[in-house]
Amino acid sequence: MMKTTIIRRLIVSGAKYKTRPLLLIALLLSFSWAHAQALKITGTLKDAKGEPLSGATVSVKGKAQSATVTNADGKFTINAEAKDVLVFSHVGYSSKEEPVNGRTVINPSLTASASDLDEVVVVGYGTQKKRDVTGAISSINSKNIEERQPVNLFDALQGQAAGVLVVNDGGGAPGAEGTIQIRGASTLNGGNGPLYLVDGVITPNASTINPMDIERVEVLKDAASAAIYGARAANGVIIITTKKGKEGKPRIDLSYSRIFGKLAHKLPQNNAAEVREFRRIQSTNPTGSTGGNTDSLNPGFNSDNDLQQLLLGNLGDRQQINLGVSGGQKGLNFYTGLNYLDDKSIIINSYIKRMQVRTNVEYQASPKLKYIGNMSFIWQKGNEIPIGRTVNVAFDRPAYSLIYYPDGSLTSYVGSKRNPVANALLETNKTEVFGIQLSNSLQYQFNKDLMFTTTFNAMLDQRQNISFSPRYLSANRDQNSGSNDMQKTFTWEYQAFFNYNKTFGGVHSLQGVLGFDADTRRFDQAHSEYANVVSEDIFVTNPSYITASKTNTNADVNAGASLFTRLNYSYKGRYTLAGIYRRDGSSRFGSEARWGNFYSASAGWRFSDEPFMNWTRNVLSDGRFRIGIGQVGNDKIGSNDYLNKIIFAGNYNGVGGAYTTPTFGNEQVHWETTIQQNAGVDLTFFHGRLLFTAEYYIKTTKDLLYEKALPGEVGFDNVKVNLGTLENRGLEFSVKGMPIVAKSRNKGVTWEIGGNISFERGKIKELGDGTPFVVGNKWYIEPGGRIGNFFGWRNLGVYAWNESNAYNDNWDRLTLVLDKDGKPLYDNGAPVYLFNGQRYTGYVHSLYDPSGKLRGGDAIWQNTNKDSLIDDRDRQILANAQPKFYLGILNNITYKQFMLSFLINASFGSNVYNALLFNQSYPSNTGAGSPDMVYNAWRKPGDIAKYPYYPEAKNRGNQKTDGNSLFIEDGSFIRLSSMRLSYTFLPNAVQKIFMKGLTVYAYGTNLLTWTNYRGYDPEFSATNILQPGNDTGKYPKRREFGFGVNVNF
Amino acid sequence: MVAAFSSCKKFLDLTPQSQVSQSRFFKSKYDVDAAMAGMYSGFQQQMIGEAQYKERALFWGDYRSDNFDRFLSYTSINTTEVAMNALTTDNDFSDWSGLYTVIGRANTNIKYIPGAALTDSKVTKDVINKALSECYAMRAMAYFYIVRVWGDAPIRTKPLEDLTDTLEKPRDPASKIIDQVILPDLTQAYALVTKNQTPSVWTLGEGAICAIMADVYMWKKDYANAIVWINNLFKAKGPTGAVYTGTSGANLQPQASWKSMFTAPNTSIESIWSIHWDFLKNDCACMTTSWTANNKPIVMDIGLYNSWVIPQTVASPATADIRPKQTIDPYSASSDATKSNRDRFIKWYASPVNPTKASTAAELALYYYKELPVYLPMYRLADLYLLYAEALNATGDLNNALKYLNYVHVRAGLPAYTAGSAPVANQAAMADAILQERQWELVGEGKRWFDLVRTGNVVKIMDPILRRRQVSAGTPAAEAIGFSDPRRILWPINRSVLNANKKLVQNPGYGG
Repeated sequence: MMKTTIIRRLIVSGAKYKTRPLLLIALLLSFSWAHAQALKITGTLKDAKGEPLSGATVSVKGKAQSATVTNADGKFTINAEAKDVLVFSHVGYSSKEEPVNGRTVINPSLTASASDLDEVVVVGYGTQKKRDVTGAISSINSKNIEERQPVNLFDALQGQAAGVLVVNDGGGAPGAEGTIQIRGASTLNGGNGPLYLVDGVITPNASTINPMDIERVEVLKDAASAAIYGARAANGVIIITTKKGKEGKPRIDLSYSRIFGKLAHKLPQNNAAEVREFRRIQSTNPTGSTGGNTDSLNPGFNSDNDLQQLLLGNLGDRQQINLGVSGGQKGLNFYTGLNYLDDKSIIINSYIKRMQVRTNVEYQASPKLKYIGNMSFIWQKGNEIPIGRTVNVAFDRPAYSLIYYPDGSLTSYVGSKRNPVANALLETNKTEVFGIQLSNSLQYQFNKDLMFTTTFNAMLDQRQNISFSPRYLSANRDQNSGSNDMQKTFTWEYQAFFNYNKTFGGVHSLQGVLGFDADTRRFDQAHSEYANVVSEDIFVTNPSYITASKTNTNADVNAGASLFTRLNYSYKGRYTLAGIYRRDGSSRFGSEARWGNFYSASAGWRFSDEPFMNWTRNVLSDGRFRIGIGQVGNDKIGSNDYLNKIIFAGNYNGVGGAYTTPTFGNEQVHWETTIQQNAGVDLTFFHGRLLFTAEYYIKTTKDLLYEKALPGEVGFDNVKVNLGTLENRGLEFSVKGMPIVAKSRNKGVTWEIGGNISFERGKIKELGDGTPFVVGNKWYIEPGGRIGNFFGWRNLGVYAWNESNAYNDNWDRLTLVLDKDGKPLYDNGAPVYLFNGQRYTGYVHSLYDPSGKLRGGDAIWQNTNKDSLIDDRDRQILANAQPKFYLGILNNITYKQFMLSFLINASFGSNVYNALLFNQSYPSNTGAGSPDMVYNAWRKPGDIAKYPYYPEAKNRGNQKTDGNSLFIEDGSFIRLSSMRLSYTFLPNAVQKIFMKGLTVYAYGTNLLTWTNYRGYDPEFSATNILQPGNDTGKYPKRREFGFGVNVNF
Repeated sequence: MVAAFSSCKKFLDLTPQSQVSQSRFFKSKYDVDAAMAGMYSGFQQQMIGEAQYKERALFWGDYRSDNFDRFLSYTSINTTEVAMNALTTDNDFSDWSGLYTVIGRANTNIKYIPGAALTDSKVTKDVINKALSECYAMRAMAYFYIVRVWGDAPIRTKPLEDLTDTLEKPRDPASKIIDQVILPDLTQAYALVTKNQTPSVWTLGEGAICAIMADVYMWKKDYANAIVWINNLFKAKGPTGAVYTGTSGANLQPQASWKSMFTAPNTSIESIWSIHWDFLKNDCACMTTSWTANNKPIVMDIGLYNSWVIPQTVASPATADIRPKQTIDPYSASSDATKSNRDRFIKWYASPVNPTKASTAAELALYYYKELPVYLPMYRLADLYLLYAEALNATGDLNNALKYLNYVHVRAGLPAYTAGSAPVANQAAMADAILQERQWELVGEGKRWFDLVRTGNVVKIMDPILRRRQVSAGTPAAEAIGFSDPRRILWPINRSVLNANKKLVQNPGYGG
């Protein structure tokens, strides 16, 4: 075998002949034998219309090194054996295999594949060819995922698809996840995340899926496609299909990667000298006791710990082992994926270990009956150090806080503050998760047109958190406490449906689905807390130490049922029509309002197939226009919010209390409906070398599920109602192309680039009864406004002098005139002011806080309502937290056996409230302060400053904690978020060591970020949809570099 | 498939798992007891706090007064606004919803408790009457807070049953609330309560009803009726089974065991009504005026501290008052006595009667440990004695007024005021002396602010205090605004309350 390979090489490429004299000897030894077997085959390769195809690859199947390329006339010459099979391939065309069968002239033709249009897309309860899809669906295949060595789904999907905003928290705390928002926020409730389906079944927590098991991901972005999932699809649907085995020899893929991470960048902090300066700023009388003795001889200030380094500056180390075994024989195939992750964070004592196993089996029991079984298991264990004990603390403790005693032991409390290093090392906060899923399907093929599928899926998720804080960490080292929390979620789903698929007269094709689905979810929780236990070696709750007021169990159950149908019609693939109807019932609503109907209709027109478009064919290979409208819903309210309920809580004089819940029951509350209109155009140029998709959508959520505040006077806090309308409009573009294509596998560079960009504009069209409200003291929700509007006072600096607080009748600021000594100039006992360069002689107005007149060193606030008082009526919308547009650019550059791939993602127009900097700047008396504060605070009359006079920062409204525009920063960023350079060994090189393939690679994540944001990272997820962009100190992302190896057997 | 689909109806009918539908409640005596506890619990959460430092009884009744000031190091926007008379519509404590929640629970109980008799024979007429009496009294108490804090407010005396009911109602005049809700409710409560029984100190019994009634009439300046109801109170039994009598200082808790009114009110002859708070069931009673080491935003005002507490720390004080050092611990911290100890409020905990030095760590753990119950007194006899003195003084009976003032004054270890002496020489002086005595006796019990409002002394007393605070906050004396707008005696209505009910109009002095 080796010999023949060498011979072919010699024949194909004369250059090789010269460079390998040793091999020439081998050649000569066996020349006659080899020559006798080889045929010289010639021919011309043409496309379907008879045009010659140049630059196409011609190779002998199984012998990649035999490859040659067709010339400008489509002609080729290749040597092969009589029994060989030739493979012809060209970008943009379906590849074709031609058995040689002893021929020496072969003139094949290739049909245009128009790129991936023949790809099968999973659309929910069935599949479709991509060319027939009429909705807005983005597909991501395993190749795109594997190239970035993802740890979780968020890593895998970030930047991959237009309209899909993936906020990735990964890389910070181990096991951190993120959020996915498809086409903007469409509800005011929780549950803005998409619906996840793994192999057709609803999976509440898809974040735990092993990305290496994923074969492909479909994102159903518009209602025309997502309506098949009706009531839960308002925020889009993500369909994940896992890998299957293939008939043939078993395949074993083994990969190992290890990556090391460091804190991407450190934030400025006060060193001991700067803390000393801060102490001076803190006190009106810097030598007094309040600020501590700031004398340089005070030894307390002379130690200089770098807490940021101690807590967050460690070397992150992540190892991942992945094993995939797959194979099959006639009628039976299987795939097993096993993944082990061991991730040590840059934060001390913070780690996660995870093991995942997935097995997929398909068994063709008879020609008509097929069984499909999926089983997956996850185990995960980690220790998390809460942010409140690390990031925030690192910026609060002064640099001179003692961390270790001279003997090396940890301090516990220093200066009435905890030692965060001791907290991190000695506290326990471990979570262990077990998850198991079993899904069984039977498919019965009645005839070639009609198939019945029935699926039962059961899922159990069990998680336990154990936390404990030992005595050593309490103020007097005499109290300990702990908790034990167990949560169990059991979900099952049953579905049964028919698929019908028929082509009439060769041109009319009809596809239909009809079925039903039912599911329930039950949640149980047992939580106990204890304090002051004797032994600190065990972490269980014993009756004698229980904290009764914090020990409880909880339960919740809900269910859904639905009926659905879809019909697709296609005429020659040129005209396509689709319609969906789904009727959904949810236990979350009262019996009168329980059922909702969801419809969608969409159409596609392949205008490139029209005769009048023939002239473009050489450039535009395929062009299609799609349009669709549909409804999807949202039922995410509490399980029985429609009922008036009695809650058992409160305790008075030993008697347990009972009272009505704060939520008033509303039997009328029903689905929230999102209507989405979508128009898209898909263009394929140059036989698939360039693909372009553009989409425009209008997404309107009506009957918004809204927690309407009731007048407190009625005795209830709120009621769930359907009030209000949200609207999102967006524009999305995706481009995929191959600007450079290598002449052959051995020659030249191939460059694939894909990019997508999404523009989103959301607004609250109507809101409840029209009353705006403030969320979390920071965000303003109003009709006509946007979600994520920061609300507060605009900071205009600091009054330099007492006299600077001067305004004219129109509340325009007057310019204070200074005398030659730089002091305010007085004339006739009154300060001299200028307005527009002219001497101002009118009445001088001043601004007041409710507690008094603003003075030199006080913050200047914009006087929005133009009265003399700065109060809550002067608040305004300061900025918005949501990006205006975001994009992702993926590149793959292949040169011979090397491949370089990298992803750039970027987000523009978002703003972040830097609450961490606020807290750092205004700490408690014993805190460290921020360098920004130390260098920019007003200290004496005349100072032009950014921060007010510190000793009076809490007076006269100087801080405006949650609404100070000084702390709002631009959150735009461009990030080189991952890069990988791999080398794939030639198959024949690795065959010697019994491998089918071997790839080694070096990779990195979060390599470069361009941003003006001064915190750790402008990208982080929000737990509450209404409260985005508040950086209270999030775990910083790591910058990582690592290597890995993939082996196939 | 059709069959399966029709069975879905049942499949989707799921009952709540951690609560019960209201239609299945109010069926037994157990339900009645729990509903009553739920109502009290709502009030208790308002008064002592559903979370750390949320003791509304004191935010409304004490912290705006000269008894307390903010602690600059740890103050929050909320506490700064309260201490500086700079309240805004965003202030957490300007929200009356919690009191209306209590009213809502009382309304629900009044409507549904009698029905439980149909399904449970243990729900007797006596059970129902006792429950209803407490519900009416509780509703009156909650409205009384609303009237005193905000003035006018919507009247709600029926539970919300349907969203088609009127949700938004305008404010009714405070006088109408008093005359048409509070007084009738209390009258009803008094009619329903079984007289001359030994009540629980934790619930609203005969004595508590009389005390609230007297307090309401005092607020109305209807002294004759106040005197009537204080006399009705004297006929009632206290929690120890003894009749209050109200004839001498001997009816008060003895001086030596003054503290036990707070630490064990159920054993005190002086107790009328206290709020029960059990840290085991209700969690830490984390009031700002408690002994916790945590960074507290409220401290005793420096004026009261220097004039009343510090003089007691010398070896032999000129006038010995047993109360200051049992109210606040001036010794506990090692640092500056004039500053950091003003937050060590110990009135609610057992402590030495006359400490002379800082407690040892062991004592602190014993007496002041935060995991102790707190029993906030709502009414006690000394309070009513002083109200009685105030009423008698107002009606011109200075002799009897002095008698009742002296009962409290002398119990504190101070020498009795002699009739005709300067502090009590005339009606005005007597009124001031009573007000002063109330401040000392009742500091931290949520009374002082209402006393200042009732007696018309807010601006007089608070203006200099606020000037002092403004100057210490950096304002030159000439620019200090003092109390500023007297309309700000009433609290503003919280923004979220205004938003939820568009028929409400903000109190004048607070803008829109």
